[in-house]
Amino acid sequence: MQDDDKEILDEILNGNVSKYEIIIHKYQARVISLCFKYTKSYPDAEDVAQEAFLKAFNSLDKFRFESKFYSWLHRIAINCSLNYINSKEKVKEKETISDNFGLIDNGGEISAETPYNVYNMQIMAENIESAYNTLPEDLKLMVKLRDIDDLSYDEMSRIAKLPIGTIKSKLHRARDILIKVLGKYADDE
Amino acid sequence: MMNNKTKLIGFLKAILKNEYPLYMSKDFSSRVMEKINKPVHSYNIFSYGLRIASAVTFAVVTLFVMDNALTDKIQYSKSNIDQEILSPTRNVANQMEKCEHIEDNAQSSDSLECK
Repeated sequence: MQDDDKEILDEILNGNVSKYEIIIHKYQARVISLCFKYTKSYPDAEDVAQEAFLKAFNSLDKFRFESKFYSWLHRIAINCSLNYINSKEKVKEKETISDNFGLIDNGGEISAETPYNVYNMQIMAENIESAYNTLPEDLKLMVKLRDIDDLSYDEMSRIAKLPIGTIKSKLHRARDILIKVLGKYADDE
Repeated sequence: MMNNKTKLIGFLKAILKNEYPLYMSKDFSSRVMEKINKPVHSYNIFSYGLRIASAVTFAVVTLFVMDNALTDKIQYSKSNIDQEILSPTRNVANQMEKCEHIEDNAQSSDSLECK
């Protein structure tokens, strides 16, 4: 199975550690979202996601490219989340024993951070949704097949009955439109 | 620039797949990279030397304790315990001898004559 990330991962394995930031950028939102399903707290979800990315980095030489990198990262993130839940349960048990009910669980609320150092993904999502819906049908199909269904260019070519070059071109155009919309809300640099 | 585009494509995929958090720290990736670039252990000659010195000290202290505190004090004799007793006591004969001539009704005496 050809992994889109193989080239970057090979570079990282050959010592170009800074390339790992590309991997983090690519998957951070999805991994944090996955961890949040377990932690129910965004700061904790980020901590667990951070641990997952670190574990993946430290075990990268054991990754055999038999599955997609994200599937592997996904499993690591689930394991880290389960470890988090177990450790939190232990803390709760100790607190029950000592009759200390001082633990404040802020759930999905974000407390310590200001809007200046966080991305408001909800606003981004609302704008992307409306931009996606206004895309021409052929471009929308490209985005759906590639970014939602994770199909390869060969598979896309078979489904859309178009040459791979045209597929890539249409996908590029569609992404450009959507990224311009996103860029307005993610201009932190 | 390249990193920013990768990040935006990552956000785009997450949103389209409906797998996105409502909030996310802007410095998440830099925090992870900071941890990756930070050396985990800084072993040097001093720390190795310190480890060896600790091990030697522990071994010496353990041997000292075992030698002095954990064993009973035994006084050993300087002489050989197999040494032959040269002067027999009064009632002990060192050699078995024939006593056939001793009469049963003989008057008991402290001095036996078995010759």
